[in-house]
Amino acid sequence: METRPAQRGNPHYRYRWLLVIPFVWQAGLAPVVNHVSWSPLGLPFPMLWQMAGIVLTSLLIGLVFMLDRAHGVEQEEAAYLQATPASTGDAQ
Amino acid sequence: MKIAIVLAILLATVAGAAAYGRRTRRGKTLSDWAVGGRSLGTVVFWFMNAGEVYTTFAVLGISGYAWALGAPAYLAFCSVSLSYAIGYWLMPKIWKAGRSRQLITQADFFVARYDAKWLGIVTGVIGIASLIVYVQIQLVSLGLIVQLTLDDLISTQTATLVAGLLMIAFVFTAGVRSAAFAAGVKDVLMIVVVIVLSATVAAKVGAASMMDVFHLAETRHPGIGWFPGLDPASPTTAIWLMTSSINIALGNWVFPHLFQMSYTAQSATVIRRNAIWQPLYSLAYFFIILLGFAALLAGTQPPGNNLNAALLQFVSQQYSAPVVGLVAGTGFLLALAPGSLLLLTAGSIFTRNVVRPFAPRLDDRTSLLISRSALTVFAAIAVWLSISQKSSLVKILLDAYSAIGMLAPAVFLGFLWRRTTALGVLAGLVAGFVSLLAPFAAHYWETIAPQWEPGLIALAINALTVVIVSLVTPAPSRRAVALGMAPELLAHKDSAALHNHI
Repeated sequence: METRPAQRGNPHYRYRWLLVIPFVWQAGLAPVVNHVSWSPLGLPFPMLWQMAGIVLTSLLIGLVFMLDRAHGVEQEEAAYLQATPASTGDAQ
Repeated sequence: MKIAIVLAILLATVAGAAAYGRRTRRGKTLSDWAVGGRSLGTVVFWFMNAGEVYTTFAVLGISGYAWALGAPAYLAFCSVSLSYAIGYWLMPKIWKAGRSRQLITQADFFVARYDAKWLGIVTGVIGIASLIVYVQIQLVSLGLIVQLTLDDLISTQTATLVAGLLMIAFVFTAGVRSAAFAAGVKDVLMIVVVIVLSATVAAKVGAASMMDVFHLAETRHPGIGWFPGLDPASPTTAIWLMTSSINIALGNWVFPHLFQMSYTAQSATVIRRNAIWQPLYSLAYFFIILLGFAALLAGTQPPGNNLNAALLQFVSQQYSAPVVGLVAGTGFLLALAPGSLLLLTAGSIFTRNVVRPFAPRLDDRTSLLISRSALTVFAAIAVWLSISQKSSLVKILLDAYSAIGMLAPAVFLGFLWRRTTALGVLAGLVAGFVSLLAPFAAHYWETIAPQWEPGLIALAINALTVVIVSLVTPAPSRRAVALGMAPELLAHKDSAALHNHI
């Protein structure tokens, strides 16, 4: 199964699919919420929906960040940093 | 009064930026100059990223869209959050590739991942072309601000030309660190401008509160807050928002200057932590849309019905000279700082990835000369484009994203699918650009899917072509492919492939 994308092939990081939710919320559901004529706080509902989508995105990215930490991603990165130099001047 | 404030803001910033550039220049290596020595920590990296939130596109383009159309301005709310939902995953990969092979430009990545020097030239040229379109956004805006400052004494053409000269002068006096400093000053001033304008705007248009501005707009222009907005016949429907926002999110990190921004971070953790908070900053677009709606309520009529000028016209009619001066001075920085970074990026790609393959032994002096001459030519092309085209800033931005989106399959598949080849990428570029630019294709998309962003359709065709051609062309070397893949995955897949062969 060579054609399978890397992340999909690794059950370790399956929670990163949470990052698809902002796309479902802000892009996918845009046509649906456009039919809601309610104006809470005097603001058009599709506008509030998009602003809520921004807050949701930050929450989800924060959640994935914590899950990454629990899965040892930060340690892996630290080990990689140790193993490689930041820059070797004008390389190439 | 107005001109005095503008000059004070400009001169103080340029002086500060030049001093800052001298003080912080640590080394003379190219990596130190171009990618900040790969040493930017959480705070500086945040400011670099946040600088991309308040842009001329966001401030003038989005307020203009709110004034002319209404709801379609919500596109701004999707652009940052969706970009970082992808960026959280993609930027650390770009960072890692940059660090492991000491990459400086985006075209360097394509050369290394696809094991093909010529692909660096092709992608370098495409990257430069998209950057020029992006510079055009800054020039159109800067031209409007020059006119505002000089009370429309000079024509749009002259103003754009002046804007181009100012930008080149700014690039030559300020290096990349100075431009970053100016971008920081710009952000602080922009927050001041937004607070000053938003706090007073309701009273200016006879509304009781900020929220009341939206309520009044809806009462006077029913449907303005819903897609497709003020004009029921506009193609800017919810489907337009959906396809345009996805196109922006896919193209964002593929812009050469933003791709290279990932290289500058100290660690991948810095990048991922930044991605958590960056979307929240984009909630500030609420105030930009508010100002656009207020301009509509005030009956603002910008010269030539130019929607890009709606906010500036509104400010100059409703506010006192000091406020207009503050807005104009901030506007100069808003266009000059990112504009000069874009030109610097384009100049270095040209020297490093387009000229150097033909002249490998360029010395530093000649390289600098070539970079500067090239970016002057690029600025001239952008001036010419700005004068000859009369589009809204949002439209120009979407065009720039469509062009850079053509490199997106090479970036994403480069990290996702080891089988992706240089010839596959080339075929995808050809197929993508034909379906984006050929008149028959453009006409076809307009007929069958008028609400769809054509860039996204071309991107899909491009990606499909990359996959098909990659399957029948030889894979790049193992070392090249390793650049995009986690080692354990490569090892695992290698053994699987080996089993298949046996």
